[in-house]
Formats: sequence, structure tokens, C-alpha cells
Amino acid sequence: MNKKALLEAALFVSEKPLSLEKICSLLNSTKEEVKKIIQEIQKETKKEERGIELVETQLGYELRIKPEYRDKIAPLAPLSDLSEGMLRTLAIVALKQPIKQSVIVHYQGNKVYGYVKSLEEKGLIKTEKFGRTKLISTTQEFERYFGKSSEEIKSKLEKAKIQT
Amino acid sequence: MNKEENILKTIIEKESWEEIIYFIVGVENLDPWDIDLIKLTQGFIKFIRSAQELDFRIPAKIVFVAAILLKLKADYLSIFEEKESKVEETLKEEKAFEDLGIDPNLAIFAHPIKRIPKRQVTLDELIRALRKALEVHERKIKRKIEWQARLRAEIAIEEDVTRKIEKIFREIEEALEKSKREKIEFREIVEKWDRDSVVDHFVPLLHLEKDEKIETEQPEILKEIWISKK
Repeated sequence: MNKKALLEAALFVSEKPLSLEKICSLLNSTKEEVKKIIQEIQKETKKEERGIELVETQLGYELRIKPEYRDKIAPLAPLSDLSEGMLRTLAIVALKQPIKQSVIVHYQGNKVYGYVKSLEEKGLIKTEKFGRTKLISTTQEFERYFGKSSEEIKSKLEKAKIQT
Repeated sequence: MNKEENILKTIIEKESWEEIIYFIVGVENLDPWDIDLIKLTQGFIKFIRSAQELDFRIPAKIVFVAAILLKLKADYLSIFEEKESKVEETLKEEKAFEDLGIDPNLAIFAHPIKRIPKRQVTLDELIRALRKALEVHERKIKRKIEWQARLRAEIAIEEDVTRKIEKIFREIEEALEKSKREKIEFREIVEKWDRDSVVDHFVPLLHLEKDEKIETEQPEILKEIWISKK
């Protein structure tokens, strides 16, 4: 069985990112061997003619649609990997970062604690202790996720805020 | 007399449904599984048709007992099915993967072969989410302001009631002084005898009574209320 093909199939069908350990056990291979295969797929998917990319996140490896094609394919896949609540939290953080968790709670209520935890697990935001609350800001993964710098995203969000 | 006819007789004779179940399972030592609910129901319908006078507690009891027996049977069936299906599923899974020579690790990917894709969100969606969050926040602030205004209004109403009580108390004092009696009629302090006016005077009266400033008595229900100072 071709291991690269097997990994590609597994990543395609898996709903959640796959950890390195999981992939090793699936492919019955060592970490080094798996990493080599991953790099090969990443190199191939980086090419312009490919619409997907293999990304390593805090939760593991996953296949993603390249940011530049997301708008076009969005109507075909109505389900997204972030819930509406999580998305609102992320938008507030992106606009007002660094922002205190207590301020977001003021906006969205107590559910924010759960959203912050999930977003942090996904690596899209980072938190640091700040007195009794947390100071939250976006990460490099956030920039990679949207394929734009935090500044670019912030300026777009600010424009939207003015229009509101 | 068959089993079901016996149970029907028990249901008619016994007082409570607990007694009936106890009699069926404990005394008669019948297995609920062996009781034919169709026969029991048919027997009951026959009984209803032949009965000259019907005690309505009997239908209630029979419905209850039939429901309990049905539940016992259903529980028994579900336990049985669960055990069987679990074993079968495990056997099927193991065999299928072994037969196909597939690594058991692949089992987690067995369903679905084509997943429902979850894509990453777009920047437009992030912008929309921000707008929504701001809208919700503004609505929340608006609601808070409205609520505070309503609270202030309620406090104002409360103050009005206090003033009203004092006013009515003064009126009572004046009326007592004017009449030179120890007691006056409620009617004497209500200028216009209509619903609003009566309620307007009656509520402060209750407060004054509670505050032990006045004493009221109504010798006859729905007749005159007499007011005196304490």
C-alpha cells in the first residue's frame, strides 16, 4: 500500500486534524518517515495549480482550502470549522487586540470562556495572564489561516466597523 | 377461565394498580412476558360492552396496568436486542476488516468514506461576524438603557404610592375631624364612586392598615367598610 496515498486519503476523510502519533500508527511508520511524507505532500500542494494545502496546526495536520479560493468555494461547503460564536470572538480579538478577556465577555457573555479555549486550542489566538483576566491577541497561525497579515485584517475590520 | 380473563377479573376487583401488579406477579406468579395484551384488551372491551353500569376507575386501572405490562415487555426486548446487536456489530466489524486485509487503525475512517467537508472561514465571514457581534452588543446596551429607564419609572411609581398613602391618611383625618365621629365610612373619602377612584383609595387604605395607622372593619361582606384611627 502506498503510504503517501494512504495519508492523503486519511487527511481527506478525517474531520479533525491528525496528530503525528496517529499518522505514525496508521502508516505503521516512524516519525521521521512520516514527516518526510508530509513534507512531500506539502511541497506538491504548494504548487499554484493545487487548491488545497497540508497545514500543521496545534491540533495536528489537516488539509485546507487555500485562502485565495475560499470565497469561491464557500457556497459549496456551508459548514465551517469555526462556530458563529467563535468567529465573533475571533473578530473582536482581531480588531481590538491585545484585548482583555473580560472586555469580550462584556460583548458576548459567559460563553466567551469556551470560545477562547477552543480558539486557543486551534492556535488562532494566544492568551497571557493579566491580573484576574487574560490578555488575548491573534497568532501567526491566524495570519496563515486567513492568508493575510494581522494589520491587513484589522484595517478591513475597522472599515467594516465604521460602515456598521 | 384463561390467564387474561383472570387478570381482568383482578383488575375489576382490586382497588389500586399496585395491588393488581402485585397480585399478577407475586401471588399468581405469572410471567408478565406470557400475558397476551391483545387478549387482555379484547376481554376488557367485552366487559365494557356487557357492563350495565361502569365504574370509571376500572378503565383507568386497565390502561395503567396494560401500559406497565407493555413497558416491562419493551424493556425486556430492548435489553435482548442491545446485547445481540453489540455482539453482532463487533463480530461483523472485526471480520470485515480482517477479510479485506485492512489495518484496524483504518476503522476510524470507515464512515463516512466521503466526509461532509468543513471549510475554513473566509475574511468576509469574519467581517460579517464582527458586524453581528457589534449589532448584538448595541442591542444589549439599548436593552440595558431601556431597562434602567423602566426601573426608574417603577421607582417613581413607588414614590407616587407613598405620597398617595399620605394624602389618603390626611383625608381620613380631616373627614374624622369634620364628622366628629370615631368611625367614618369608606364611601365618605371617595369623591367619585367609580372603579378607578375606589381602587385608588382602597389600596392606600390597605397600606395604612398594615402600617397600623388606621383600623378598618367590614361587618358584612361586600357592605360598607368602616375606618377609624388607631
